[in-house]
Amino acid sequence: MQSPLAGFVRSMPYALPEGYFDQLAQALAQGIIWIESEDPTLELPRTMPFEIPEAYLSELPRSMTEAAIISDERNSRVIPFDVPDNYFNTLPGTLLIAAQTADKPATTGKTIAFKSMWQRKALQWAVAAMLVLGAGLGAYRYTHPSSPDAAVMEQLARVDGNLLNAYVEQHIDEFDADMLEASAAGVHAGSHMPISGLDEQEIYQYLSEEGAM
Amino acid sequence: MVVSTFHPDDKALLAAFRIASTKEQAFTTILKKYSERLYWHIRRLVICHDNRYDVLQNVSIKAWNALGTFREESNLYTWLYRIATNECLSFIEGRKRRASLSLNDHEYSLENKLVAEKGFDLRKVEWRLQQAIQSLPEKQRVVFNLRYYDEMPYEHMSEVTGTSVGALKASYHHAVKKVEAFFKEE
Repeated sequence: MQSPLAGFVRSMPYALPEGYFDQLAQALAQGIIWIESEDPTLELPRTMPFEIPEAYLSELPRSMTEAAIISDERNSRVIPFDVPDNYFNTLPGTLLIAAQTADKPATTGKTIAFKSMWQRKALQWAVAAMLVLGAGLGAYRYTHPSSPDAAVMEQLARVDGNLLNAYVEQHIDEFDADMLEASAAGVHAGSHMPISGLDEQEIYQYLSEEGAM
Repeated sequence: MVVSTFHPDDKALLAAFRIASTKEQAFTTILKKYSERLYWHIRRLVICHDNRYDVLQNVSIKAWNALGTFREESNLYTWLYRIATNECLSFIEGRKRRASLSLNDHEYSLENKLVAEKGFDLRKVEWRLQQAIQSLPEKQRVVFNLRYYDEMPYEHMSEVTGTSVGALKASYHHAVKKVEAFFKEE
């Protein structure tokens, strides 16, 4: 069976100071010389410059002993409560009987199903995607309104004006004046004028004013 | 091989400690014998007089609790020194941890504690020596103090520190070189 370590490099990743191994032998040899020789002398004083409170050192043994005794007393406190005879010997059996005869709860507790990690992740991604999609759709509908009138007007605006005039001239006789009047009544309620009262010249004038010609 | 000689006085004191009626008196007598040395050993490492209290208290509590089962394989005073050294190193380590978490890390610096000591005077060589010693790593500081100030034999120092005699000698040589270099730089 091929070992997973077979292709691994065998060099050490640790950093060392430059020239370390060149100096190592000498340092080790120096250490041996020191071990075998006398201590170096230091021509410096051995007095301590620190100040201490007066009579501190004479009181120190007593205060250390007191501290040790106080600590010992704290650790070995006696509990003042009385315990019935043979109580601890019968305690395990008593507890076992109590556990066995205790009433079971009337209702079972609510079971909380733990979802696995990948299910929770998938759910989070799905919610995020739906939010993004909803926001995108909303933005699209806002910038591209889809009312029937807006679409028709848009299409009509693209139609050549000359073509429209030609169509109207050709089919002007086919238009039922009453029908036209009825459909225009809701749009121009304030300026209602029967179409049957208009002549062709007035119609052409109207269309040119509206920019259709 | 370390040959420890248990002092006959210490033997008698230990026996008295193991008797309930004489326990407290024996303990006080042991402390009268060694407390001053222990105090200065601790003070050289933690500097501040106020700091020594926590360390000394821990030393006395641990000694009280463990002296009854002390096996007399080493000297009593090296045993006490070992407890004091370990407590000092723990105290220094605790201060370093607090310093790393605190915005006022300069409060915890032992060098600053030295400068703040009453009577600190850089013109005096004793204070400059203390500065030089504070620049050593903790364990090297212990070795230097035990050898230079307490003149402790390397065999006893080995019992205190749990380090071999050879390593202690090399460590002391290193420490002396650093102290000399410190004075040369000035």
